[in-house]
Amino acid sequence: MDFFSDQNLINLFIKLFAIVLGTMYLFYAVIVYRQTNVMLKAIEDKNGLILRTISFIQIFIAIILIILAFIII
Amino acid sequence: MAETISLDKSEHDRFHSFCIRPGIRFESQAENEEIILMLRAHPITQLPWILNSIFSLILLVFFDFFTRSFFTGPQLIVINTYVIVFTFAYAYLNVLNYFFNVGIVTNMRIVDIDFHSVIYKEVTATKLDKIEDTTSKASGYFSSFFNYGDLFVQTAGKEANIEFPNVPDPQRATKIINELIHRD
Repeated sequence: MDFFSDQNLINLFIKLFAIVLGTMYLFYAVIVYRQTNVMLKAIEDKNGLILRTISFIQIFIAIILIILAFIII
Repeated sequence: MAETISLDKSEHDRFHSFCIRPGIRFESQAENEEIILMLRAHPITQLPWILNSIFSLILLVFFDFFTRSFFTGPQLIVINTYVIVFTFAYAYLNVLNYFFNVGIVTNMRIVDIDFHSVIYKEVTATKLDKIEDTTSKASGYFSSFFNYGDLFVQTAGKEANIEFPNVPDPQRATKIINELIHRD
């Protein structure tokens, strides 16, 4: 019965929510990275590397978010 | 006598939203094709998403303050991290939209490159000799104050009409296009 205490339920809810959102964010980050490359092919700019790097970092952030959701709560 | 605009010198104005000879290349650019003018939306038109991002971060501070007794430390860390990351993602998507939605005027044609929500790409181009009329429209207090508006390029026959919305200094852009048309 202790499992269903308020704090445990909130934990479970936040964890599930965080994992689902983290996974969705990972999909988003991959699509944005691919699209950034497509867009940089359409318009070649000297700032392209910065945008490509930021898009790539987002994929790492998404993975960190999912890991964070699993371990921190 | 009408004053002519110098198009030989590179010029970047208003956070790179009005660039003469911008030093970029685009996908379908021909070898002897030179980019004369590149237009983006005026930076002030980006204000709504910038304010939304700032507002959501301010809201997060209030959320933390009022719910700190309800959530535990780790729970708040997760909630905060997600809100910050999603706010950043929202802002970054808007930066990409701003950066890659451009209007390009070359010595041969006018090209409109649009990315809707980053995933949908639309490229419209028309040759300079097919252009019948270029008009600019600025309406509202904001556009008059910050000098931005819509630029319409009407073409002859089956060629697609081109529209550059919210570009800075539309009169000057129209003048440059007209100058290029009459130069050829």
